[in-house]
Amino acid sequence: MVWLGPLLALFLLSPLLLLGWRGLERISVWATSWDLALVSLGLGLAGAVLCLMVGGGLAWLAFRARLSPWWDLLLLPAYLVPPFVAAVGFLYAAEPAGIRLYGVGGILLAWTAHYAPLAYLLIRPALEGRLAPLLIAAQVHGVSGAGRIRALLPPLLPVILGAFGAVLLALLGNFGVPAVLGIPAGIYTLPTLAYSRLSSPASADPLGEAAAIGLLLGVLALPIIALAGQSSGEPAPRVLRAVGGGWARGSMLFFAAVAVGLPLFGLLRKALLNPYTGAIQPAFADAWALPLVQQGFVNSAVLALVATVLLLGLAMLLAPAPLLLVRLRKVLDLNYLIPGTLLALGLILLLAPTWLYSTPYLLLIAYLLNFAALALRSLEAGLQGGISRLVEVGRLFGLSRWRAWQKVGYPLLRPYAAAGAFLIFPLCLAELTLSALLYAPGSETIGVAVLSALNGGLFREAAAIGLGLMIFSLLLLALPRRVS
Amino acid sequence: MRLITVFLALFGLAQAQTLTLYTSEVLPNVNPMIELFKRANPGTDVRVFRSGTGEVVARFRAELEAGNPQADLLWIADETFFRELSGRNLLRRVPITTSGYPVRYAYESGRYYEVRLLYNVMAINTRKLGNTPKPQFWRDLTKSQYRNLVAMPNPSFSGAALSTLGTFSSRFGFGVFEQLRANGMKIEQSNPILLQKLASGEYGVAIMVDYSVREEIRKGAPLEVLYPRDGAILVPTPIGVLNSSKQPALAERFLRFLLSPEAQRLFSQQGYVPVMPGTPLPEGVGREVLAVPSAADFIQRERVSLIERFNSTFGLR
Repeated sequence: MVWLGPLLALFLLSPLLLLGWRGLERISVWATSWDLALVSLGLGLAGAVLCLMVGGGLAWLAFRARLSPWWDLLLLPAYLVPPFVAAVGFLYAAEPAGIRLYGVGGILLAWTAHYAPLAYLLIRPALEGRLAPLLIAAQVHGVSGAGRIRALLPPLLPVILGAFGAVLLALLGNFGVPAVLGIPAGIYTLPTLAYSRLSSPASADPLGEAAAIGLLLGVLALPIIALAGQSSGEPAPRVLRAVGGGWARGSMLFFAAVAVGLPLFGLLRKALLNPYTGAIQPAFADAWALPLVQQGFVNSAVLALVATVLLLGLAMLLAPAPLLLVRLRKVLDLNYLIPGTLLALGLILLLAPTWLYSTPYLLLIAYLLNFAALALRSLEAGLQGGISRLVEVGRLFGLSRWRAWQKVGYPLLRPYAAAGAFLIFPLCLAELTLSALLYAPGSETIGVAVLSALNGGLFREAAAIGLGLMIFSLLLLALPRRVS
Repeated sequence: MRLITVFLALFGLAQAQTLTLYTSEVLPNVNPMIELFKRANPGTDVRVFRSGTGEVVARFRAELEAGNPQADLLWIADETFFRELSGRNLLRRVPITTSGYPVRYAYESGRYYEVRLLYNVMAINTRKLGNTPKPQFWRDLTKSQYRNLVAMPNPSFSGAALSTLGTFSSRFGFGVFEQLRANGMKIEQSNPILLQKLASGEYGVAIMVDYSVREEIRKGAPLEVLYPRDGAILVPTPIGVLNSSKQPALAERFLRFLLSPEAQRLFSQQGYVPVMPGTPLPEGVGREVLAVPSAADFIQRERVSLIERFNSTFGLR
């Protein structure tokens, strides 16, 4: 039985391992793609710094102004809108001003709009938890100016580094934004290069070359995984005096207007107006009439639903064995944290000769492997909250193990599962990184439909579908949820 | 459990009468054609993988290597790939029974067929060009009056652009691309994207396929199709049935359907030149298009080196 664990780990990580193996065979490709590793890293670093400055700055303002957590909801829409959809929106919003957003500037803008809220969500709780007591102490002891920075910065450094790592990792693996805004300007990152190699008729071994590029990306990403942090921290005590409320509120509103308002305007303009005559001529009917769009919508919705239900169901089954759950999560973390391009290429290598290839099941497997860690993590949060102990109490009262979980454990876990579903479902619905590589006729996703429409010059239809996705993402905000 | 049943019902679509078509034919054109076919053949369905020729070829090649080819039919703008497939005996011979079909369009005694014709031309944005005289010959585009106005699609992605690359290289030498590069020519990924950018005034002249320009003119775009005086390039876009097809009879029926009067009329409405005599021509097209054939032999020989040279000249990956 001892070998069962490692065997399971091996099985769950087999796509990545196979990718590494196949990539090594073609490692000569690194000689001609190392420059793009530098571009990827440079872009990622610049983007992460921007996200940290914007997200961290907002977190600092909100913390100082003692803004209630409800204000966090203002930043959430930008994070819920799929980044490639926002990228399309920015593109069209800049058009009337005569600005072409293709290239580095556009990529950084779209990244900052999407990932600055992530930095905010990682930093704000830490400010509350770690900084607030120190700030009070500093006030009491009359420490100010440079002295205060010297006292406050060191305890924050691990948090800032953690947030930096998490954002950098997300940017390195992001495919949609550089695909929409980079490729047309000849700016490639490793994920888009892997995609471009895979679809190049000139290369002798497309899959091998793509695998080698994936491996290079993995080599960049692995050390950063160690750095990436999770949010933690409790709300600060009330005694902290609120400072700069107006600035904080204004900045939050400004960010939301730019990060969501601008792409929304761009998509609306493109989807509604005939570009030549300026007349109002909505493109929604044309977009919906594309079989690809209807198929993609059904596929994405079903895939997202099935993946969410299966993952949370499995996680629930594992809940009575929290130790196993944590161990499994640690293995699956790699599938989640490593850029999705690697998992997709690994799955092609593993499953191309089987009947699973070119069916939606291939995508389902990819989603399950990719997002499993999120499902397990959301329940883990509940289990750490002492639910297991309450189940034990139930057993002391004579309930069987199963009944105790049914009566006590699962009802208490339900909100955590709901939080997990709220996280996983939208990610699957608007997924692009995996599906761009794994789709086949009949198993297109809605993300693939947007990308295909863009590649096919159906810009107005792409805008119309993007707008639909954006509005759906914003509707998610209306779901009832606890504000912690 | 119910969910899983729904899932299986939605995805377990192993219908007996489903064709899979791999094509570079743009979606707004291929979809109505399939609708027409389905109406004539109730109970059938056609699934489409649509992308640029380069991507379709790469994908199909990868599937062949994995021993798991998915397409029943292949319909792309790269004759050389059909030659390769035919050489490996992977294409099914389809005897043509349609009377009046010009035999010269049935390649290798019926292994793959031309079903309509399209040409690489100079498409211009009249508003953007303004008073600049219209180009007459291909090489006019290297003149300084067209500096930073010209663009073409990426030959790695677009089969038509690969035709341009090969035909120009064999006629004028590859140097013409270095001159075009020096004159500021830009590369866009695909014909449809290039068309949008030409129509929006980002470029003044595009070296691109003719058919879709006419559709955009109908929508109100300030565009015009110019057939160069030294000959538009006839871009081969054949279709063939794969030997590995599990639905060979239905696939053959689809191929023959494309030669039927209704399909040929639809081609014409979409701006293509139909192959069947007697079909009305698209608006603005004369009976005789002055055209030169794509340099298929040259492209077949030089394909990889051509693409690599082009990529390094224009900084593409």
